[in-house]
Amino acid sequence: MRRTATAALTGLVATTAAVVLVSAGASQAAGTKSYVYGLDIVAQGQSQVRQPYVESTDGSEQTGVGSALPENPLLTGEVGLFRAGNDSASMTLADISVGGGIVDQLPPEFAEGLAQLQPLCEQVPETPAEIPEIPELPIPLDEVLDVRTACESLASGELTDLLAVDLVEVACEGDSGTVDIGGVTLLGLPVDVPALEPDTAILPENPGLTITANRQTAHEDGSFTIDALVVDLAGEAEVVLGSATCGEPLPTEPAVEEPEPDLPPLAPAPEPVRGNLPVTG
Amino acid sequence: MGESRTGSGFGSGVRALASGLVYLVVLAFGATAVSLVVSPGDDAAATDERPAKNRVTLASLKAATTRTTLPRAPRDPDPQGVTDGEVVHPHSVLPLYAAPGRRPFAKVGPKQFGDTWLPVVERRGGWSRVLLPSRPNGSTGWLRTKQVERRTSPYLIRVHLGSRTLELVDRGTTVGSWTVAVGAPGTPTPTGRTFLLGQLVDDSQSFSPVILPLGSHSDTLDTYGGGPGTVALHGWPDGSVFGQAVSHGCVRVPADALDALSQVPLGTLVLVDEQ
Repeated sequence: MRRTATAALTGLVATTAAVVLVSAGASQAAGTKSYVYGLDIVAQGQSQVRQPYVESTDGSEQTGVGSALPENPLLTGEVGLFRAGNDSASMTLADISVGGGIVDQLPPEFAEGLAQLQPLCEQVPETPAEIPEIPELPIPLDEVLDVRTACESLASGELTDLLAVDLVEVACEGDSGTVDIGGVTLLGLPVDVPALEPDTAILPENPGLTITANRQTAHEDGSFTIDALVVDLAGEAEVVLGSATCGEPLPTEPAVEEPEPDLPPLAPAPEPVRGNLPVTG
Repeated sequence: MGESRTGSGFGSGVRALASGLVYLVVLAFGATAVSLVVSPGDDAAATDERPAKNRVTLASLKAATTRTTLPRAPRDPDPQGVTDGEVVHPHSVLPLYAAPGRRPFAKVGPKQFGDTWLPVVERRGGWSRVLLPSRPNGSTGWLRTKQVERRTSPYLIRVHLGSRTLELVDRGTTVGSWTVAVGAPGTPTPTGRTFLLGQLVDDSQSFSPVILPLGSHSDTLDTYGGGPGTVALHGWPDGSVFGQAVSHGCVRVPADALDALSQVPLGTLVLVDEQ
């Protein structure tokens, strides 16, 4: 069974790699340009996806709103407001689902057995004895995961994704940045996530796969990049979720006095919607 | 023996399945969370700068809507103050904070009656304080400015309970003034600062072609007609009510006023005073 699961993972990675090789790449941005994007797959140093994307080349604020992450076999999610300006960039991602539909990707004999699991999950000890050993992890998995609950979630069809994250915020300003993650659910179980240190390495000595959260990179041209999450696939390709790059600040005219902040553009006229709300008459 | 072996086989299979899933999760992404879970002790001891915010779990927060009460929401610091007209729209569900950098106490979504637009009443650094549509009246919350779409409404709506008039102000100039009906003495229209929350066509109501619910609620009626006591601007078929204090809290306006108000962007500030 372990081989089956590993094979499924291999398939997942292979599918991802296939996507990596589909299209031509874009060059790395640099200089004074600031930009932000939701998802990218980088192969041989070349960006393959980088969407949704917005950049500011002249310091003016450029924004984008509300779109889905590009289709890929690894994760799904929604992008809220994202913007790039003079030496600043930010993005909000919501409802990130990692491994959604994973059951569909498993071998048929594996998936067909799920429906029969319900009574069997009760036989799973609360502290399972057969968790595979992963030496790179600082403590055994069976101390942090309730496998019986996960089993029951899977059997009842409630487990729709392996890892879900309600909110990811990535932002940079000048030569610093932040990544905030809120509302993490792993195998259907809420997980309390502390603050992310810069370049938090996951599985650092695993030759086939490394995962880095809050990756921060200072480039030679003076720009600074912060990536919320980076999955490196054997050094051949990497998947980047949520990336903000701040270029060099553009020189500003010496101001005699502080200018009044510009008001945002006019709000749209409302459109009536049908609904029911008893009001106080 | 046989039963035992069979049970053991099933159990072993399930354990292997669960183990395989865990292995898959860890390798696919879950190790991120696992490694974070296993090191909270050190982080807690170090009391990092953002521990509270990182415990945000949107699912556990109460949504700020006209049907909810948020007792922990900070109150409007200037209930008769005029703003520069900025309104903001969240494009996804966002946490609401009691103060910049504090723990969130609620959340607000992108849709209520159509798109959610909230007026900004204060700014501090990268934060914007907005009025909320929940009870109690005057509820506010802080949002991160970078997370919302910002626009400006040139309008301001003033309701004067004493003179029973409603003024529509455009860029500082009164462009319309009407005699209206306001709340009766036992069910007064609440004073203070609120906003246009939505624009509803309600097929179950016959008194007005469109209803403009506000962010405020009756202070004397916990519920009304099955609703949460939301105050609204709307029309009324009998013109004799205008100039009277006869409603249950809503402001009844003439048809031409309703036409004009229907063009005013959501989130626009509504100031209700005793004048």
